[in-house]
Amino acid sequence: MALNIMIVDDSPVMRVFLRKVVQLTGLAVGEYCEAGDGEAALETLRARWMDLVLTDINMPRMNGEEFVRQLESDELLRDVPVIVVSTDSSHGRIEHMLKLGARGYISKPFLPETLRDEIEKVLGVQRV
Amino acid sequence: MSSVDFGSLLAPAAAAVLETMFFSELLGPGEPGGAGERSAELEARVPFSGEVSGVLGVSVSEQSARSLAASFLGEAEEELTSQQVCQVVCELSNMLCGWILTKIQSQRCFDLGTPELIDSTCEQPPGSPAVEQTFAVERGTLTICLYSSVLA
Repeated sequence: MALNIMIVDDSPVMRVFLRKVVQLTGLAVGEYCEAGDGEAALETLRARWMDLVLTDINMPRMNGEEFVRQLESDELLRDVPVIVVSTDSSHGRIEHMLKLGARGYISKPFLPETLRDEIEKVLGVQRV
Repeated sequence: MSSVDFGSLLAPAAAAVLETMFFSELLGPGEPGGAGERSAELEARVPFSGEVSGVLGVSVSEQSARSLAASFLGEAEEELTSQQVCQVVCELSNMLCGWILTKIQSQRCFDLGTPELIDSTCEQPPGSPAVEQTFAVERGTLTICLYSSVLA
């Protein structure tokens, strides 16, 4: 089944890169949606369901941390799987984002297969 | 934390980022551009704070920047806009800074500011760079420099 994927990053070129890397993974993708910050992403998610969200942390208006927090507090959106894609790979940050509700975390720089493995791992997880 | 510690991380950072995200490689040490060549470089800076605070600067030869941007975006060079090339240089500086800071302080969080492309009207950070290294890359050079009052 084809996935609908949202990419949230304030860098337009990073959004292009992530889309191309997802294509390289060979995963079946139905639709891509993009947003430049957490607030725009939330607006879109409240209107259309996404199977997976890839989000940066450091963004204007609403950063990735607040975005994940808001998703988790929303009954209708908390089941949307989120993978953080960030330059910050400190243990503290990773642990914090996973505690907030992110299902996965990818540190930049990363190989395409790393993203694929993380996506497959996250989408295979069943929420209890 | 010393400038030597940071300095030893610049080459591994550049190699890791270029190879995984830009499908490119470091070709060894390079010669920094002379004063007459500064206009042919793109420069970005990203401020950071945490256990150590400062600014990381990245300068790339314009031709190298176009080549790296084409690899990063999976597009032919002639299809790229100047804005895209500049954004890619900013993203490169962002990733280099994040990689280095994670090696320095892997247990604690740090904060990266927004990378900015620098032109001749921008103010230079105070003082000289604590660390500066130039590497040869395809079609030019990549220079990474670090400004921080904390480093010896």
